[in-house]
Amino acid sequence: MILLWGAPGDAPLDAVREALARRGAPAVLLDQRRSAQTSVTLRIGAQGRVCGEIEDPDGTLPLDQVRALYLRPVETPKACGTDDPASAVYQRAAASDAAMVTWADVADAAVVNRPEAMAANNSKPYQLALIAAWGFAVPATLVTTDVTAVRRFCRRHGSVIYKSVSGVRSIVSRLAATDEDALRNVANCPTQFQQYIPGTDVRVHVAGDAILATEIRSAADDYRYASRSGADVAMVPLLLPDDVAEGCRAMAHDMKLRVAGIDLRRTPDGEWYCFEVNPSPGFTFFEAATGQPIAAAIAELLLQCERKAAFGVMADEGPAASSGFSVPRRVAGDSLSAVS
Amino acid sequence: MIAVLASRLDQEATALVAAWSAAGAALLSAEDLCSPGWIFDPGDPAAGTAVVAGQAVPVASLRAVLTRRPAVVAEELGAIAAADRSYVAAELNAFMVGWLSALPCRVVNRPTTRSLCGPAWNRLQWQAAAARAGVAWCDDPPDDPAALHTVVVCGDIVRCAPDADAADAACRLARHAGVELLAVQMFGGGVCGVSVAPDLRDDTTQAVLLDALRRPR
Repeated sequence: MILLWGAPGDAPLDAVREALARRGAPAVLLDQRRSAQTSVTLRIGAQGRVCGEIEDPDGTLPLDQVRALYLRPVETPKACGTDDPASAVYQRAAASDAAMVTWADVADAAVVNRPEAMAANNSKPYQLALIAAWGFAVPATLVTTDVTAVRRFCRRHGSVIYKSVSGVRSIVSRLAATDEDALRNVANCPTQFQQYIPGTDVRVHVAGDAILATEIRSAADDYRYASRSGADVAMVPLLLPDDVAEGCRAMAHDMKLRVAGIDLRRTPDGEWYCFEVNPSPGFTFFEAATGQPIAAAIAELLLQCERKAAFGVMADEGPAASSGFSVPRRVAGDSLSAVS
Repeated sequence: MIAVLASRLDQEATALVAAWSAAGAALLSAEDLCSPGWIFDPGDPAAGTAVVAGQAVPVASLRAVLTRRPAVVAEELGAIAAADRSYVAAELNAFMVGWLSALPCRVVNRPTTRSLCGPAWNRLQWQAAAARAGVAWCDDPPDDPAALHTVVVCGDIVRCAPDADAADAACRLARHAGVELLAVQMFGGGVCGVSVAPDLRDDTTQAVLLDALRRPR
């Protein structure tokens, strides 16, 4: 069985759920909005395996029946409708959510993605070091509370952007020479500055062995917020060079991410920079613009994991870091054509 | 210098810093993290500067860092505007995960992506880890704390183990968790509790830990 955990209305969750339904997959949704009415019981079984069951208003689900798990949880207050830590609803929901996260970390099932693996994205400099170790070019980076160091960095690199150090979503902004307000705040909170890399943004979605790349054409510093600066965004499917595709696939595998959204930029000189690896990508933004079958690729991955587990293949083998696939693979059974 | 990453309100940590003053120990507090002077280039971490005990110091002068806290919390950032504290705390934790992971010197315990001082595991996760490491777990320990043995793993040294089997079990669990410093509570040959921030008030444990911190990475 495939278990989906999250709050309906979340576009990627809904898209994967619909893609699984189209395939007739044995999938069940655990609705996080009902966490306060859900109890998750975990215990240690034979050979240290964590077993137990989930009980929600629809019934009881033994965890050992779950062979693949897709996670898209939202913050507990958002799901349960209250942020009052003293309320019984909040406490029950928080306990249920925490137990699900624990189980997702230790479950024998294939998990897309384990919370432990996703947490690397909560520290951008930490993740950047992992990316650099994979051989992608990364922008020169400075994290600092020292205004003099920022000015020195700007002199060295010319155009510089700044963004949050943590996984808290922030708008990537170009640092203006006159931006004294931004610099004043630096002294009390470490801030990340990066050399501006000119070029074209490419979002690569990895789902197991499948690679779906999208080129984003926009004049905005952060295309996600292009409309705020009056800039347009155009997206088209892209065929990646073999080595770049294989690098993305292998890097996601090495980071223990079965699904990832990798942010690349191709410079005018043809160099590929990598900025970030998103472990829970909001892929529907790209799918809606290009028609690329990303949800179908994730559904196919979950089905493969489910079938492998049924034949006794351990889930943690994960997607193979195979070589040679540079062409995005057509998702079997999906009506959309392959990316070209 | 040996930096001890801990809260100013952590009396055990401040006492440890005092006890290790001759070895150049100093407290690295949340207030230091919000002070001017930090310079971190992830591509060249050794060339940066840190702020320890209110002073900017070259990272190259750090011989070791002892981490004694899983995270910085918003409530302790009194000098930051209340509306910004949660954001700043998240930024500080993210910064520390990146910085501590990149340091060329010894860091005990090294951070994980969810904690600054080793794995942030709950009881069930430690139980699962113990089972995978082949270490028995005691589900029903006595209420009397005096009946329990607290074994401390400190690098290659094991302190306070009642016997060789207990020492071996504690070492296996520490290896499995990827930590150098671990307190393992034991009863009747089984583990009944684990902490990545052991009690360090004992003089001998302090000396063993200091020796471990001074060793090259």
